[in-house]
Amino acid sequence: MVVTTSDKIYDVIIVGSGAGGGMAAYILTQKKLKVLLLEAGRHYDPETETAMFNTPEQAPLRGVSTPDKNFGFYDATVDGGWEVPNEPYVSAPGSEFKWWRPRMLGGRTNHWGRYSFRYGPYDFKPYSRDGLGFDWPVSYDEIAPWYDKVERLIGVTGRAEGLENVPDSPPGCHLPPPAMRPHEAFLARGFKAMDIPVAATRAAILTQPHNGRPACLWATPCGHGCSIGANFQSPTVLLPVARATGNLVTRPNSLVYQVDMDRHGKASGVSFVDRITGEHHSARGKAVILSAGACESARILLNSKQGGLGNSSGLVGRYLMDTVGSSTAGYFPALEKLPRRNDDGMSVGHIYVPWWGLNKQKELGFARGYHIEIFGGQRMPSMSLMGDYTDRCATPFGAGLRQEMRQKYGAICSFDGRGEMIPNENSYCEIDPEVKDKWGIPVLRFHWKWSEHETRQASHMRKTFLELIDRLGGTPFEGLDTDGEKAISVGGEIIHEVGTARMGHSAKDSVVNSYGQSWDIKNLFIMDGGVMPSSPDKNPTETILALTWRNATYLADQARKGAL
Amino acid sequence: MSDLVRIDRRTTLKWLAAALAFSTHHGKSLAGGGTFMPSPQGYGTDPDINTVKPIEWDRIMSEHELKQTALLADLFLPGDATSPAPSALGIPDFIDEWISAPYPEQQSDRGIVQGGLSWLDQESAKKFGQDFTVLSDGQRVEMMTAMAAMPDFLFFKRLRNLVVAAYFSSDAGFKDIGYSGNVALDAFPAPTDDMLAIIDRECKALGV
Repeated sequence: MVVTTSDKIYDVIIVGSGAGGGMAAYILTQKKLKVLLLEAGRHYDPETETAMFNTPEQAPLRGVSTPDKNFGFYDATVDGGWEVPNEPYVSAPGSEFKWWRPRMLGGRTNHWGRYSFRYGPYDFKPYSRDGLGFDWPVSYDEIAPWYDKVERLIGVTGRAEGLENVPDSPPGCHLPPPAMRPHEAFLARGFKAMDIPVAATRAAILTQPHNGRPACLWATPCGHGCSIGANFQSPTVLLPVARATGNLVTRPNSLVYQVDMDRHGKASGVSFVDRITGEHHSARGKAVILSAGACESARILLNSKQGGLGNSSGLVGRYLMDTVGSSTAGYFPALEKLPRRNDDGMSVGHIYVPWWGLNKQKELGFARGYHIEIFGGQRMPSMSLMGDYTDRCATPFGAGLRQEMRQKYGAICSFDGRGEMIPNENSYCEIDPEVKDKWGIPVLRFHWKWSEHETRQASHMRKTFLELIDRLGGTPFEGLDTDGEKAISVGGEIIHEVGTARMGHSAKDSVVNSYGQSWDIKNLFIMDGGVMPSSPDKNPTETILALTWRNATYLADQARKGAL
Repeated sequence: MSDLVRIDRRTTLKWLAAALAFSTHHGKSLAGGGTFMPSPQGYGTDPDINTVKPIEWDRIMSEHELKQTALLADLFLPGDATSPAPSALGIPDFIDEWISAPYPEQQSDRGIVQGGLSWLDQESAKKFGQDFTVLSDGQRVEMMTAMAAMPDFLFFKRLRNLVVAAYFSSDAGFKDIGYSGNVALDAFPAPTDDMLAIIDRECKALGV
């Protein structure tokens, strides 16, 4: 194998350009460090590559999901999805795991859901609270100032709610949330009748101009990308600032498979294959940050050395977690009474339901909570949405069918539960002994098992949705089974993998310290969801950004002191 | 809600068998597309989303099938003074694009739709002595009514779903159903007092 090595020695090499890698580049380049950013996918420019106002009619098959574009034609995922050409992964017998990977600059920040939450005080100390899982080596109070910085930079909506374990942000952090849509006001009444408090949405979408970026124009799905930069994407918010410092070199199509070591036991750089030419290269750096996503970063460590690099704890790849998911859709005749209006707004619900059962866990029979995301109203018709309405119409054909469609449009709402998984020994990734990718690099094999804490939670989600639909005079039509085993999502399906290189207090109980620094190799850092010791119900992106801001700041300080 | 519509595989196979038996009986290839081999290539994992390009895959429907589909589509959602008929919006072409696509969901629909269209002529011949396209309006409505009454008749249910969903997810369909979004706004409007009053009234009636 011919490996081309450059003489250039960077201060820091970052692997991956999503939430973690993008934020690390943003911080380190501004601190005048010379950074090489290696991205496995191609260059991507949301400004020119996002067909924001295109309608389904302009796409093949009305833009529906296909094996080529799993979330639809316009979804901002390039060359990826549940499968990436030439880059397989396997699930162990008896396990099912789905691994979503894009191959593009900015990674999953291009299509992510934009719900943006702080973890709460209990989320950092789950073991202390109920004896399950692992505590973080940091507390909410230590991370709070970094959440403040992230929210001030990227722009996150929210309102002070005064709810336990749902931290309110200091004044000036949150942007004003948008008004409720009519169907959301309706659903809020139902939740209120069930004694379930509803909160204003927390989303990384601008409701007013912010740091030179324009406000949301209240149309077009965020998941298609935003050419005006009104939501958070690494390529529109972080990377332009890093680039402007003159300290950033970005190399796309560079699939890193190994951290290289010098004879003093320190990282000297990385080796990667160019996905276009197939040529192998190595790059040299004084420090290496893995931000390839929890599973890909684990794969790099495990492929770097027999038994895994930085793996004296044996924990690399272990305690893999995803968010618990379950959904139900219902049809509400009461909503037929509303007149026509433009309900586009943000892609996310303008309200959401934070976990309300903190002190009821014993009676509930599962240990941790979930939040509810809501979709509905008079939204842009798609094949799937209109198909659902068609199936609700009693008139088989004729003018009456058209009338019924007009009458029903806007009356379907759906509910997504998003819950906390407790880390377990049966859920992990490792290197498959046989399967290799196109370039001969061994691939990941996933093992997955939900515990009863998760399946009971999924069952509770469904029962909650069904009760709400019933109280509001609706009819559920999808997601009806309340058997937790059947109600729960497939591992990986919610695309919140975390935990494969967890942080902790010592080299024995963790892969990295609270700064994401490898216990074994002090100039090697992990800055992605892999470092999380637990997986709160609150979506992980904002926490990845906050941890990375803090940890990249630490790295820069250490580098300046010559301590790496 | 998933974009995938689950289809009973056995039913699909039954339809395929019925269609093949019928076409053999008449001594012609299935739906004029008997030699069609699915293209292994769709639009790929990195299509140019800005440029509206011709669909990559070959179309498989015959002129006769397109005509049948147009008639059926216009029976599902007849046009009137203010609303165009599906055939005027290219819905039959869209159904062709759909069932011709090299993806599993669409390939499953191929058997259902082409098998059903084939059955339709057969059934029409039995009942009225001629194929569906030359029936009178009243006879076609009679056929539709009969199909609608058949329990678990997958062809009718699936074609109805595809036609209606394709119609209302078109730009003209947006207008017809009253979708007024996909336009840039300076601010997101809160519900009007009238809307809030409706919600209040409905909630009170429901006891919440």
